[in-house]
Amino acid sequence: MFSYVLRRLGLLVPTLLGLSILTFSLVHLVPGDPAAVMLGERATPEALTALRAELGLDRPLYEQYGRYLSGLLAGDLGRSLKTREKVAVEIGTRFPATFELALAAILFAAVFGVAAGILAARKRRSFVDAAVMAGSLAGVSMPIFWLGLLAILLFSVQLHWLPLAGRIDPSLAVPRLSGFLLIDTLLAGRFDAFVDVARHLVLPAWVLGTIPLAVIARMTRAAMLDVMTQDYVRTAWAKGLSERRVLLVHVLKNALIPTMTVIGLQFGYLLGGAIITETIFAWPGVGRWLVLAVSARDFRAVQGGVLLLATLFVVVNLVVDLLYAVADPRVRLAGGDE
Amino acid sequence: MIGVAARLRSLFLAALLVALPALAGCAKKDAAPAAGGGSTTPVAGGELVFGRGHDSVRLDPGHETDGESFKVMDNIFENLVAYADTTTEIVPELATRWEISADGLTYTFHLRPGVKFHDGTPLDAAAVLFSLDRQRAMTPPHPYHAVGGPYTYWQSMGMDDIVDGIRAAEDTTVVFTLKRRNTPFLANLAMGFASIVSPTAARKHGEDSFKFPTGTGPFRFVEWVKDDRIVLERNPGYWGAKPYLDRVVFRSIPENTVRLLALESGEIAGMDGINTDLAGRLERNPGFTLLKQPGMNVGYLAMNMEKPPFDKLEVRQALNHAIQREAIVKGLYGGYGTPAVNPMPPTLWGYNHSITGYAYDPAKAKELLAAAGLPNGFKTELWAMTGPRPYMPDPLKVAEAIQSDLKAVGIDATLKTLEWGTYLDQVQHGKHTMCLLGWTGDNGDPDNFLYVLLGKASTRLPAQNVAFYRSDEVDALLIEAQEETDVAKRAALYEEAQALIHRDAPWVPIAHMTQLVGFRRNVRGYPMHPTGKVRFRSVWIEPGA
Repeated sequence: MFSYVLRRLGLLVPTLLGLSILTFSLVHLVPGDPAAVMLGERATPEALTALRAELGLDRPLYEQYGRYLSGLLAGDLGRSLKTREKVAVEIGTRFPATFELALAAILFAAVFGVAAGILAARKRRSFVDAAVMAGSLAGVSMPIFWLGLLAILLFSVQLHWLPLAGRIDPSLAVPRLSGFLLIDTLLAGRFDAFVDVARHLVLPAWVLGTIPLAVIARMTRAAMLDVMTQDYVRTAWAKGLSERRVLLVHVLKNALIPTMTVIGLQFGYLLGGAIITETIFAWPGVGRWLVLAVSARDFRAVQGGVLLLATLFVVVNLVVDLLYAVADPRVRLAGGDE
Repeated sequence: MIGVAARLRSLFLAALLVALPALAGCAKKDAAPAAGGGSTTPVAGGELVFGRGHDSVRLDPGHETDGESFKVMDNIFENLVAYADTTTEIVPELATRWEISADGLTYTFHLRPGVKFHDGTPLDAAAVLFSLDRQRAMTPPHPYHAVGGPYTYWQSMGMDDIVDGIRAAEDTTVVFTLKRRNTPFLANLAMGFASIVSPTAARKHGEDSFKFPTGTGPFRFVEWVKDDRIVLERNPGYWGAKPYLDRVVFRSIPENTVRLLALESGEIAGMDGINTDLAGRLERNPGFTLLKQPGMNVGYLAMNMEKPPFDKLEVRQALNHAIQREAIVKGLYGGYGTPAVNPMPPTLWGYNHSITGYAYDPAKAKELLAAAGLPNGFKTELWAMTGPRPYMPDPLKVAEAIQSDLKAVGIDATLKTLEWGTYLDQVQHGKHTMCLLGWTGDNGDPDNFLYVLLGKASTRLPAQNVAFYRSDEVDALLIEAQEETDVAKRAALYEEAQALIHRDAPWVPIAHMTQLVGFRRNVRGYPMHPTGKVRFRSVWIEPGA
């Protein structure tokens, strides 16, 4: 188990090295001089030259990459070209927002997705099944942009039930310790602010969770149906076990393995920042930041951001793989002797 | 699958379009009542939340170039001189008065006594020197010249070619000596980059100064949550008329529609970056005020005079007669634009109002083409930006409209588009035949439009003068206007230059895009400024409304 984890983590190094070369070359192959983009219409030759020198753009590419890599090895992601802030700080201030939203969205999606999947599998070919399948098809197909706007129009503008944008009412001053506002508000003993933060989370988490919910529901249903045809399930029925026990203990436990993979993957995607949801709900997360960095040709921010998010994605997948062992004792991770 | 998804999407689109006006009706009922009979005496107190599309990049005035940063800093920092509330006239701010020597080379500023920065540091000549000297290219360089990045605005406004030296004559007097006579220099000093910062704070925070903006302005900095909000509060020790608002919060809400909904639902009290297609919705709603003004910008079609047939005057005039700029502004600026006649907006002093512009007259255009020896027209390229710019909401559509207008007079123009950074680079190196481009003014001085965009010096590569218009006559007038210190005489020179430019027709001026700011009806006293500056000192909230 331990060596498996080590091996997986070891694989991270070449993966990230490859990724760093890939992002570096992509960012530099994209047409458009970052200095020209930053200065816009008012670029004078002097200002352009000064900015290029300042950014190191006047150096050959291999030298730029070499500097970047040696910085990376020293644990330095560099500074954003646009803000001159450390890329690690830029991500650090925004990641809690993304994480909080992703976690809320995936919890919502997992709970309701698995429940819907079980329901559909149990009442296969019934009206419930058809409804879940159609609903999940709609969920996957729904343009998040429209769903978000509709949710805002209905719940914020018309009904005034929920706030419309942002993470917290700006008049609530809560000291930021962790950046996770649900935690910070509790640490500050401000229950009113906690409720405000939770209310701000509802719409974006719902909107962001729609697609994962649909995917999870379909996956759970398929896996359940698959498992339900197996011999040991028939045996369980034959033993006279209650439907509840057969489905929730015998079937679900095995059906959860592929479902968990899907949940883990979806969570990994969500951690990369939900660009559209973050944009609509003015959510100050990493996704929107990264997109703006791309359009500003802020290649240092892009490189650092992609690298960090990729690491996270790999780590999340690793954790999911490890969870297999917990869910299914047949899975042995020692490896090498299959 | 794909077919179903697309159908669902169109269904949703339809549903939303039906829902929008209906909900607008509801929002109207919820909105603050119109304060028709409201009081006109300002009241102190309250918090104003202002929504905008992006966060600030950084908050050190010397380094920044983006509008969203200056929007916040204009409330925190002040300059030696400032723009008047609603015009680009230069008025005293941290300097109570100044003298210009007879040769126009020495400017002596007398500082306002008793002014303190937000951190308690007194405003003195040393602070002015610190704020401006750090930006200059000097030998040896100022100790803070290399701190915090390049001083882009100082460089792009050519300040190193203008300023020879700055010295403190006494504690409260600062003397600038110039390398050459340059009157727009005074207007440059009113720009954001020339704001005076607390040297104490700058020394204390070094590279991180941009996170701790410390000026002398009516509001002081409280908090910045990246991509979310920047909070300012009233500066209790402000030297001038105290601001009315207790707090100002700048909130970033990137999606235009959502920002408008936030205004309608009361989450924010004011906003800018209003889509022209949504502006009407706000304008019709009695709970809100939509402020409009031609922006300090111009969008234009430049003809590269280095490339035939645009070296011929008749061809350039023909294009001016062939293009229906009124129709373009009406159709593609959503009515929120002013057809451009001159290269500068009519809100600036020195604008020549007697020029009426080339009338739309395709027959005349054909005549002119024939006179140029091109009775059957010609083939050419029309370059256009792919994305919206502050002076043109949809350049591609504008290009298509121009293309069809030109076709009507026999000119066959092929559209060419490039990614923005590349586009700018290619155009500034004169690779185009015709191109769309535009400009947003910096200092409110006509020089900043006419000399920058049409002066001979600006044809140097990478060129700002992308028509590559070289007129000795116009250049002489523009340089004389730079050296003249009398504003009335300068205005006359600029009017004359505009008449010559109009005759030579290096551009087809298209439009000045209207700047729009929206507020809830109870927000009073917002001074709309031609430069687009967002200043909240005089703003107050009408209670009970």
